[in-house]
Amino acid sequence: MIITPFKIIMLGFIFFAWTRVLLRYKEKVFGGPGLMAWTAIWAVSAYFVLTPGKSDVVARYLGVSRGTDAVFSLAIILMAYLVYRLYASASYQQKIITKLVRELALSTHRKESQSKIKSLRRR
Amino acid sequence: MRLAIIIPAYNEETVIAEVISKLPTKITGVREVEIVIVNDGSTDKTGEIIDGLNTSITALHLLINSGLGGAISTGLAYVKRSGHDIAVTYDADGQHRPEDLIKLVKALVVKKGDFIVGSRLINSKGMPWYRIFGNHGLNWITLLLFGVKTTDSQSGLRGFSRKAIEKMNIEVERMEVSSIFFSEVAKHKLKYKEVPIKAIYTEYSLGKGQKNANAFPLIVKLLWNKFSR
Repeated sequence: MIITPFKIIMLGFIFFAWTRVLLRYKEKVFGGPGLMAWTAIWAVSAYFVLTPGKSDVVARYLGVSRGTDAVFSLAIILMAYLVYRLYASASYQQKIITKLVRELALSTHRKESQSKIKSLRRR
Repeated sequence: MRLAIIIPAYNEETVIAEVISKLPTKITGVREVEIVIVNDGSTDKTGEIIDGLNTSITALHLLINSGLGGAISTGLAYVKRSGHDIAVTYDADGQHRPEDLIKLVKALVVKKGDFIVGSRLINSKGMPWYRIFGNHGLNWITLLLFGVKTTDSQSGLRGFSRKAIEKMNIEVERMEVSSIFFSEVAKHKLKYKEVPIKAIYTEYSLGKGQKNANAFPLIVKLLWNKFSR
């Protein structure tokens, strides 16, 4: 196994990403199963960085000629899904905020109208 | 019949008082006219001007800018709860003529349709060519996505019958609301009609409203709305 500067950088990033996972676990963003899943993902990533030839074996099994192609295809699909989820979430947040602002405006107007009616009656 | 004139206003301190002063207070066939201004989080003196007007109007102030869709849906929610028989949306930038509003109201009173749009393109004389081009483009998209044929999907002068007020559920925030009305027309099988109107184009009013550069994000929002509900 040859350790190149590129592999060191990639492994460094993977280690950094895994420490963020640990922090999120400590903050209880996710539980034990989440920690195990993310640790497995980063461990597999580190394994393929150290032994890139093994990713070709997996790729051929999936029907893709090179490991790199399989990784890129998977990454693109995942990113498209994440973008969709982000857009859906942002769209939903905006709807909720608009609804809140609307109800606040209507409620404030109702209170002001009732207050005006009361003061007119007092006269 | 009780009529509500809904005016969404965002940063219109220059013209809002004049626009309101020209609105009709009596229309044949209408017992009561209520002017409902929705101040869409204006950062200029629009809110203060509205509150300081002598005329008896209903002012709804949105704390933050919610967009045309947010402002109109607030106005329609108020109208729905207040039990008005008909409602009209009217631009705050002085683009519309009071006589066209009266024309639209008369069409509502005689029940010509549930959703009636004042179309600037039935007679487009005086309309800038880029506005005509942009409008035709959006009309095609409205037809493709929602199956409703219209000559002016982006017109701000719109009339609603009580049935339309009850049935329509507007959940979009920005300029895409103009096309979304047609989605609601198709969904609830509302009767759609048009009346010809003439817009007033000044340097001020041309600076407002839908821009052709907004076309792409608007189409994305319409597609999202169509396929995510």
